[in-house]
Amino acid sequence: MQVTNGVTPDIDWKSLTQLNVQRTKALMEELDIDLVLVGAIDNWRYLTGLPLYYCIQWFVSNFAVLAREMTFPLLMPLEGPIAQMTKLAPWFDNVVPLPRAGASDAVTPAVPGPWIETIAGVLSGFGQSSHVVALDPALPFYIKDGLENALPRMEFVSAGELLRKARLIKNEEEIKAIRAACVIDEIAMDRALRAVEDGRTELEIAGIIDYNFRRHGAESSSANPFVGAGVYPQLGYLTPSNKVIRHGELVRIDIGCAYGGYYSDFSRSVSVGEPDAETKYIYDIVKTGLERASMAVRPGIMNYDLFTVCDKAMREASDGQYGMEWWFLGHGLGVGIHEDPMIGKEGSVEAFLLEEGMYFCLEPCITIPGRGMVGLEDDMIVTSDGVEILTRTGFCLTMTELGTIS
Amino acid sequence: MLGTESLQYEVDWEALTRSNIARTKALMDEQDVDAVLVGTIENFRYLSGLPTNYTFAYSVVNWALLTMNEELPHLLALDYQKAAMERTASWHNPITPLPFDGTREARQPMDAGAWPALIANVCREAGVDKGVIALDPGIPFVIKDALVNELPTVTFVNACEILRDARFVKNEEELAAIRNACMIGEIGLRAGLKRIRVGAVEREVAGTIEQAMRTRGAENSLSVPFILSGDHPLLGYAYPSDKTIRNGELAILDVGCAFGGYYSDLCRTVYLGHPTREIEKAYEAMVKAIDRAIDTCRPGRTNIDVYNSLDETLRNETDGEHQLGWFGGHAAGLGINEEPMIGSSEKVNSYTLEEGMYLCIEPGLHLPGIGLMCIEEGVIVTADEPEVVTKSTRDLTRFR
Repeated sequence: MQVTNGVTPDIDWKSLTQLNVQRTKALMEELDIDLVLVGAIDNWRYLTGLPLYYCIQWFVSNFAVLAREMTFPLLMPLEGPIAQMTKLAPWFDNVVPLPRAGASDAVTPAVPGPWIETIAGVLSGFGQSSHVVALDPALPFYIKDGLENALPRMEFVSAGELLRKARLIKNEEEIKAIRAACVIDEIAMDRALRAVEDGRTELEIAGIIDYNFRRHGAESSSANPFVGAGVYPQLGYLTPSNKVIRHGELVRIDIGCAYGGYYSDFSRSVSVGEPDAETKYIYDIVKTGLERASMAVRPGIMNYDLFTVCDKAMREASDGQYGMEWWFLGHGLGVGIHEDPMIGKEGSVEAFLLEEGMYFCLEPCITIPGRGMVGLEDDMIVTSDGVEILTRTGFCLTMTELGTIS
Repeated sequence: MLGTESLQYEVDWEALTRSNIARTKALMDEQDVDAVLVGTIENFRYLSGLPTNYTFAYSVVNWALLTMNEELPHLLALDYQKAAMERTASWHNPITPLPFDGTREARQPMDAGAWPALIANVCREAGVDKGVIALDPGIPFVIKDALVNELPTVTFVNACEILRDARFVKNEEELAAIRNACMIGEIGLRAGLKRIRVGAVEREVAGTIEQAMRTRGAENSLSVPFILSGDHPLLGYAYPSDKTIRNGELAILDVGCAFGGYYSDLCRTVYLGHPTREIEKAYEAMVKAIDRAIDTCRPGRTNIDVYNSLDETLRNETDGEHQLGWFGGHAAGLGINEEPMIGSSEKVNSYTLEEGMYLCIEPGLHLPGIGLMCIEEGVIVTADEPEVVTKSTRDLTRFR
């Protein structure tokens, strides 16, 4: 089992993009697809390595087209300052900006405007013969409808299968970005755990996480940082909230951030004040499950085998009293937050044979009625002969015992 | 619901939602639409008043079907959130759960999976499977295509104009949420102004702002405080970076956040050092320009008038040295950039301003070698005097 060492990301973005493009092109060949058009944040990043104005509004707002003969995709970024992105990445020499001025496509709710014409113009430039164009599955329907009208001789299909397969295995440059995201996650988690005390609110802890994400180079948080104290998260709906953390509660912190667009996802749980015997016991069960499942990771086993290992370890540690509460143990990550392979019970998740380069998290949890949830999560990558665990924060039930369980 | 409690302005989420629904149904009626189906974060919030986890991964996981013959929409949501959502807003109808059981609907890249069948069921139960259903423009095509298969007797149209026209004008409860968002934005800005100084790193300032806003109840984490200092080739396309802020630079702090889904957006400028008279004059011209433009934000005027006012004042006050680019601001609400845009007549669609519109006016100038200066205010169009909802100091803040 290998432990992550790299903390300074020296990422060759050009190489990262080339490798992703090559992988995509091989699948285009296999699936008889002539052109791929991407537009959602995650797929844009995958094929270009470029960031964008990170704003949920612009979830689908920068497009890229990849044809089989290209080394790098053609970019269709939002015009203006955003088109300066080619200064960051001068290997992109084919750029057709999408208008922003007067483009009702660029606001919300989007009303069809000049974008369809611009995109159709670019696609039609790829030859007179009909082409099979695979579209980012998240593309708004009106764009597909508009393109079908404008280009009746092209066949539009979903690029979902292709992109899923491409993104399943991470290359070495992507893994560097992933390691960096995990390190930033650890820093934020460390600061957050140290800040947990009764009298603080969930939001205060979340604010500390937001600060550390930004300060240490994360581009974005994967979601609102989950800081759930006591039983409120089960009763409430969105955390973090104004709920005051109280002595005796369990606090579960589940956070993730993106570095260069690649996500981490990481959880620790901590008791406010000395935990009682039952809590220590249950904490140990969850920890055992996570550790055993992590150590079982290697190429050649099935994703659902990890669930079996985790469940079995928890039952053994508790004389059968506790096991996995539901079908879900973890999920893949990458430029997305929930990717393949899902890790869960056989029959509930699509089966995947684990391969080198797959990246996912494992997050077993047990709910203690009246106290809260014990959830522990780590990120890991399948290596050639085992696993590299990317998140290294120790397991501590109370902050006074960092690194140990009493 | 903890975390979205009002800071100063009470928000009645049920009244807000019912008002939005009534407005939408009037527009549906005009367009002979039997139902509107929404699935994106903004539009789901608009028709349900319910929050969503603000992340692109969850951007299409909550759905609402509003029909002409019912007062409240049919809701569908991720199964593990259903109980909590129902407790949060017990005035809603029971929610149909959407399974998150290992299939691909909430995955990236996504697949329609089992959800279209469930949505189609709800449409049938609601009796709109033979009518006209208008769709949220943000709905991914893989879902729409599946819905077309499931409901062959439905005519699907785009709900973009209905939703745009509905969201143009904010009701009293929405405006209260916007005022709260502005207040939290001001809190963030103040924290940023305290942090910024020569030697500070842009990212530190940005993080400080985000922390301050989150601590006071900001809901989202997907609009980044733009802390842009000095002048360099990537200015205007840059996240707050590791750049150290230096003497002799201008720096802008463009911040905003969501409260209950409604966005604030405000900007202030600082100068590190003692500004030259040239810099001060440009700044004074910009402040004069925004004040005159704010005064044009009245019912019956247009977004073009607002732009023209900005541009004309800037030119006049600087003897033609400075003028505006095509962009001078935008409306906001559940979205960060909504129409009407504040822009020149050749560049943007023209709209008559109405009471209840919420505009973010943001003239900006670029001083070569020195940096950007910008001021942005949120303005609510009222029956009489425009209401400026962002109250931070206008002074060009100076740091030695």
